[in-house]
Amino acid sequence: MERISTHQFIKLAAALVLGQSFLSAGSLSTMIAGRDGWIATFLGFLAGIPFILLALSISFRYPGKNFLQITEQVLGKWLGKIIGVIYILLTIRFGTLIVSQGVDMYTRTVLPIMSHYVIVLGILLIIIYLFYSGIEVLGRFSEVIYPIIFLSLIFIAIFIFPHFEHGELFPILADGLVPIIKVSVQVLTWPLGYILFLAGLLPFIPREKKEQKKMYKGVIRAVIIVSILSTLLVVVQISTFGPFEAARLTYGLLVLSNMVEVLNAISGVEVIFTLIWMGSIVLKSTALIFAGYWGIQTIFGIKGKIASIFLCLLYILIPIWLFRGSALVVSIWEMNQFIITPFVIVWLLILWGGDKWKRRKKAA
Amino acid sequence: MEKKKKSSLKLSLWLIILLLIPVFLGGCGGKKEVEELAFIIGIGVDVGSEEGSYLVTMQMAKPPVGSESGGGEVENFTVSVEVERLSLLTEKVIEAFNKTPFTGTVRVIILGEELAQQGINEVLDYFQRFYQYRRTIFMLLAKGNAKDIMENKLRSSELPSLSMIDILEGQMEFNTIPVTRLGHYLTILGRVSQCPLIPIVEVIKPGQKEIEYSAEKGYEQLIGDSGIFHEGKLVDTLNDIETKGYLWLNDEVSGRYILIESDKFRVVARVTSSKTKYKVKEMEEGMGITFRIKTQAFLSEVVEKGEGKGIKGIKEWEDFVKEVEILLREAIQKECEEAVEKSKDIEMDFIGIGRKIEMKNPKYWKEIKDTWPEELVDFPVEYDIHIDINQTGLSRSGPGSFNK
Repeated sequence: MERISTHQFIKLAAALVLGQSFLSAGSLSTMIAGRDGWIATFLGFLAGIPFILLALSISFRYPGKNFLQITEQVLGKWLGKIIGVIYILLTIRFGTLIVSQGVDMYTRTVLPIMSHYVIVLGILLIIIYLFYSGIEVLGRFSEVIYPIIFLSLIFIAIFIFPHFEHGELFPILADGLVPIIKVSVQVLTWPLGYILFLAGLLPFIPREKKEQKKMYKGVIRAVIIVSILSTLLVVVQISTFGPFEAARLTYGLLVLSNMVEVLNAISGVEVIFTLIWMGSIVLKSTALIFAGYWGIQTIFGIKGKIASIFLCLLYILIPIWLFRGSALVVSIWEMNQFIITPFVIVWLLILWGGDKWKRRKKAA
Repeated sequence: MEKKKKSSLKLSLWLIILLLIPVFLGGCGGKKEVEELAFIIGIGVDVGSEEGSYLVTMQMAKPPVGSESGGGEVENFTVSVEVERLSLLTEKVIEAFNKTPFTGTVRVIILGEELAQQGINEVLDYFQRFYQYRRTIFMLLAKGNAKDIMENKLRSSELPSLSMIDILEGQMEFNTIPVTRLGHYLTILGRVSQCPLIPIVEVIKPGQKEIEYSAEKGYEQLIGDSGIFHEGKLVDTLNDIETKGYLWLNDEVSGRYILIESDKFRVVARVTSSKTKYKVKEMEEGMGITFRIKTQAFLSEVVEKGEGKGIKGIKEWEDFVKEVEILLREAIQKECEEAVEKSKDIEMDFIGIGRKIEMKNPKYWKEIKDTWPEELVDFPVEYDIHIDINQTGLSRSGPGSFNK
């Protein structure tokens, strides 16, 4: 069986927790928390750590099994199948939404009149290539692309500094903690979204005790780095646009990339950034296509070409026909808030409770 | 190991090629040759002849055909079209001039005075929404029509838009006008308590504004003063001194020349750096704000008046510098006071005092925000200005003092 190294696992974790969140984090966090959106972003990401660790700790008790198999074993076959079907539908919908978001990012900026088909097929070419190359290649892809995405975001933060508006971050906590908590819950969806992929990835990660410890530490470090980076980007957006304007912009970071000017000589470099960020969309969509594939394999026992062709077709057809423009942004938001967050939390807690109850029962 | 490295490199190459494919998939579809594009540098917007329409003036830089100069020379190509909404201008331009306007190069937006009085926020939606426009674009308010300003033939033959951009960029060194970029204007709009300012550009004839020149080859343009906007409408203007006061209070001065005068001398001080901080604190009259300005300057010109004997001794010189510091402090304070006075008179918080209170004392701000800016009228403002004259040039007494 294919395996990924601990290092690749950690890089994948960082890249997928970050995902495409940086595109809309500024708008999402300032809409409710205003100037304190950056605090909410930081706390929201950190709040995901216990859930990821919980998922890992459950999986280490069932080596070689994915979460759907563990669910069937702990909660029974039927409940496991029901959760599995929801999981498959969810990963397909979420994955295709992310591909559509990549298309949306291009059509709103550098390729506004380009046909959807061309961009969808362009993105899917890489996704399908990665998918057929296997999980190890995806791990290596994340090793290549994640540092580039990371540096591109830092580059923007540095070069946008001259456009900072004075004191936009202040006052801090003027509206109390309630808006921060509300936004943190919304931000939590990004680390939780990673658990969807992790649920299927588990059989491919190292099983040695020594490596498990490294994975715990590595995941914590990865989420902390991502939370700091995301917070920095929200700080940059609030400082540049002010909280009201930041909340109005659908993809604040695209506007920032459009503002980057170096010594009056270099400008109009947003196309480079969109290209780099496309890597992140590709990474997350591929991770979810894998998750969907593992789900179909586990629940329906369909293996090989049929499942993969079926999934690839869905990934081509849905982004082309279903999701566009503002409806897409709303769909992603609803998906995150009302489906992924409650589904993952409930699934994890039931599984954790069920596992504990079973163990106690066994011990008694 | 070697084999693994090779396969990893091969894989990386494949991934990079695949990642680049979406960019090339666009290929030549919908391509435009450079000659077919009109690179717009400045856009002027005025009220149109029909109700609800706009007269949009686009200033484009046209490379001269067959030019041998090889330099950055460009010809002025300015066209105006009347449209119901700004987005429609592309269609109109294509119909009339067989060129597609490319707006990614726009650096300045000039808004006509009449349009500004009617409201500019609706116009700005187009500039905010369309991705080609950068939020770093400068904004200017025309005295009169934007079209007239943009069609003005400058003596230097330079494009008016390019000249305006140069003037605004020159503000990095000397600050006499507020530089308002599109992004800044939109940010200030988000601060409910503050009114944004846009500097005013006007064509000046010889003799106007203390500028003399020969108008044979064209007219000069000047950016000074600024317009105050409330809910997108031009409600008032700031004169030169009030504008400079605004700059001091908002920490936007890094360089200035200031003339100070007493019964004994006339001195020009060059400000080399300045920092403005503020404190919101309880004062005798209630809660108030203190602006603390720390300025460094040097003397660039010293002329004695009357029958003075010149500043000869070291001690005399020290006293003189102290006196200059006091006068400079008063001059700066006067500019600040005029700005605050104007703000109180018209009950418009263009300085952003409300926002400063919000930053420093959010609790107090919550109490007064509903009555702001009416509350501004009686709001105590104090100044604490520190001047440091760090050098006085190469001499003490100048040639003007020799014979006295």
